[in-house]
Amino acid sequence: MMLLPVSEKLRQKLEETNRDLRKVYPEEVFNRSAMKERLATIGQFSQVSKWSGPEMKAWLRGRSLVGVDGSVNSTPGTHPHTLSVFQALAKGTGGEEYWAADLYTPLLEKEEKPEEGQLAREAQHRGRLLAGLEIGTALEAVRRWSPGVILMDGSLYHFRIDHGKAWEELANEAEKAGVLLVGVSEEIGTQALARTLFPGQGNYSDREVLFGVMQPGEVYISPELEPPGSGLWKAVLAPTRNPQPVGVDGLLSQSAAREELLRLVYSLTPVQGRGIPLWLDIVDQEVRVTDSLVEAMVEQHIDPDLRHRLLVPKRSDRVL
Amino acid sequence: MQVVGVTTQQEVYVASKDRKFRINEILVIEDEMLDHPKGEVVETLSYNRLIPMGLDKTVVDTEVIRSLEQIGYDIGSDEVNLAKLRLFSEAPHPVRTGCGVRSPRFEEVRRFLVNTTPERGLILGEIRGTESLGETLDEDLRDRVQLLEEGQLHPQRGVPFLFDIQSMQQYPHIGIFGGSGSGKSFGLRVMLEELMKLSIPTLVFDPHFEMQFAERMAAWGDGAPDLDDRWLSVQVGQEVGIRFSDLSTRDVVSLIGAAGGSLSESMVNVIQSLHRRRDSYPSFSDRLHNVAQAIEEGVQGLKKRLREDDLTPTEVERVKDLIELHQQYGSLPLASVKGVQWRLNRLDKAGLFQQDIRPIEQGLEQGRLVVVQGPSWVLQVFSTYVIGALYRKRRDYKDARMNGEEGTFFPPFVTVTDEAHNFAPKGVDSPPKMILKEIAQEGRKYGAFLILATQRPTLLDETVTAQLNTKFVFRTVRGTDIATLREETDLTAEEGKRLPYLRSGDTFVSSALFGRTVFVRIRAAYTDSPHVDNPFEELKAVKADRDDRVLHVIQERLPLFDTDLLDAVSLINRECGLDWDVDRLKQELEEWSKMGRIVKKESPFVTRYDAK
Repeated sequence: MMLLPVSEKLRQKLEETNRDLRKVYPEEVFNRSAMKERLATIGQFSQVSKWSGPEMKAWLRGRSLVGVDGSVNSTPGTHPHTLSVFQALAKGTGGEEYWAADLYTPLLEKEEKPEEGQLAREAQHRGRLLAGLEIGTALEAVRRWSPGVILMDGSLYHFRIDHGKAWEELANEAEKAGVLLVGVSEEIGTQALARTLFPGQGNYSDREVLFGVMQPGEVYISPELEPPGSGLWKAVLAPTRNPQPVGVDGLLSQSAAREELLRLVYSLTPVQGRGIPLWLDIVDQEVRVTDSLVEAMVEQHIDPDLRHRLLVPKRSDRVL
Repeated sequence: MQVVGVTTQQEVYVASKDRKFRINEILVIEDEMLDHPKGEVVETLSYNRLIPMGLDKTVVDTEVIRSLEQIGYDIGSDEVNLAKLRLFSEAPHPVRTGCGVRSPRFEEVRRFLVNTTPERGLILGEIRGTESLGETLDEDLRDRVQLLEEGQLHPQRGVPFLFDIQSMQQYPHIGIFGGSGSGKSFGLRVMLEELMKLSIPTLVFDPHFEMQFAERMAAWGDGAPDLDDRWLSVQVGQEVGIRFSDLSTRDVVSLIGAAGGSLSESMVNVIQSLHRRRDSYPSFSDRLHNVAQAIEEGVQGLKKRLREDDLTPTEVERVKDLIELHQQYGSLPLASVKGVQWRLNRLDKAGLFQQDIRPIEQGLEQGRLVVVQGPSWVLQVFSTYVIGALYRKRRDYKDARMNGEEGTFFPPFVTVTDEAHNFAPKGVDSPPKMILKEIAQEGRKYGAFLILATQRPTLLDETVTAQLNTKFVFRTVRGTDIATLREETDLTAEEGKRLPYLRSGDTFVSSALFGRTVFVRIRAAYTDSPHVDNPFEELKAVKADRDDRVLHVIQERLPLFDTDLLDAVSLINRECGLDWDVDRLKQELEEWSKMGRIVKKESPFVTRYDAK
């Protein structure tokens, strides 16, 4: 009996896919203990413990902790009929807040001939704008409050790639002010470990290799993880029971504080949840540009004729 | 503070991140189009998105929160406070969302809160939710009351609640409702203290023997006014009573009716036949007695007695009188005559006919508060008489004035009673009900006012309830009573829901005077009800005292042997006024030895009780 209303053909295809996937990711290779042994050959596992509140306070020596996150959202049209709203927030535990915002629409860009890869460039452009905004708020946080630690949502490496120039400035100023920078990324997007361990298997990535091998509070570091020449250290941390660990990175120049930073991230992460420090979740929740926010703002500030001519897609008039 | 969400012309929601709302506080909406409408907070709530509730949401790890708090994060800063604000008067169109909201200054809202001066009104308490107005309060309204919270006196912070006594001309009657422990009696006490301060003649019926004003609350110190010569208390049967000769036949009927159950038709007939104008108690009582005797003996029996030889002339006269009485009233049923006799006796035994109401009249004329005490049933009878008599005096005076005559002055007065549902019950008849109903409906004309307190508004006569223009509603738990109160007042659904949870001493005042419900905390009373011993403490104290006395008496006789007990017991009975026997003494000695107060030594031959 068919429980789901899908065609027989689709079912067959799915089963085939399952078989193919199993071939590429065989159970004997992705065995937990075996994988751990393999990983141990190119790096080392260690355990960190949680800090209590007073310990954390003592370590910060009265300076605050700042979380930085940004968010972007666009009106639901097709390129170039879109308007993107950017927002970034640096929020300190002492009640400090710094907001930054920006807007972007391709409609106002210089005329371009439609080209191959234009959409990807658009996305890249938005990413760059957002990274710039977040780096800007972090820089502001360093200058204004000189906090103990700045927690960034996402890996520092990405900020460096997305907006190298701004990043350099932030890294320099943070170093000078003695502000520790640390990035936490919930997805590990690198392939360096997988390439080293399985040179023949171009498809494998670090995410799959690290899946489920670590206990809560366990840290994995390896020279392979650290992108050469980036000036960054990188570690993998399993802050919760979730089998998917998170990536943590920081400045090489500040690597003396690496263990403490890992402890900090671990201590601030709720046992349940996705493995991101609660402070970043709080910032994320506040900064998030929701659909309704974009809609309300566009409705209030863009003239109706322009709005309908340019931004409102037909799709929004769907009845069903 | 800001108006958020959907608004209507009566209600808006107000949100604030950094300020908690107080229930019943007054706020000003800065909507210029509507000329800054004002309203009262009728519902409040707060939530924190980091500490959600619900099965679908996980509660955030408290460990992490605590760590964040350690490094300076104030989790309270993520709290959002919401209030539902009801506008005092309906706006012509809904309030604009997003408007600013602020606390008012006192002069902006004075007219909603105060409509008299402290000199002319009863200062009953503090209006709840007005704390933020404390700073801008007019000088004459400051430091008028103290409040009792958790056994501690606190100075006034908000606006005092003044009840305009002058307005009683227009809205004459007050009801006080609330279950036991709700602060109802306490509210009544404060109201009476205020009436005394203004020297308003007041008549209080006090079935609970709790309305005394001699014991001052120590905590007030010198702040409390001296009320000592403003009141007196009298007990029915001791200082006051009914002068029988003043009673009309109708009065006698209702009085005897009040003495126990309802009167049968034939009993009423007996009274109507036998009572004469200006009868004194002995004359009426004798007549009843004689008629009963005459009927009992019968004409034949009486005539037979007349024929007896050894009758003295007086006895002959008496028998002849009886025969005459029999001729007149022989048709009355003996049982009814006896029934009336029994009831009359009961009233007399309660001392009802020993005195008159002169002390009460005099007290009222002097502008005092007169507390009348007595058992509940006696009070019912007596109140019927005394309220009726005083009301008549007042009415006669006013009527005379109206007709251009001089008349004898009798002051306007307030009648107060607790357990009012016993005096004017719904559905059934009770002697005082008629007069209370009359005053409720007509008293205004003559300056006769009522303050009725009860814990069962549902059982109070509807006509009377409907005439209570101001109602103080304290904590009420019973559903039917809440429903009655909702029907009889302008309490809203939200306020009705709050009734079972009100703190003792908090009350909703629903008054035609304010045109809305005001939430008030009754002030601390100047005086305390007479101290009553806890019966269980009393039990313990009495026993300890007796033991001490007995032990003291036998101290010198120790050691006591079995054989000495008879002697000892008679000594104890004599010295301590007890009535013990040897067994009883033995039991007590056993107990004292168990308690270690004496030592018991047993040998095969004798038992010895000795001092320790």
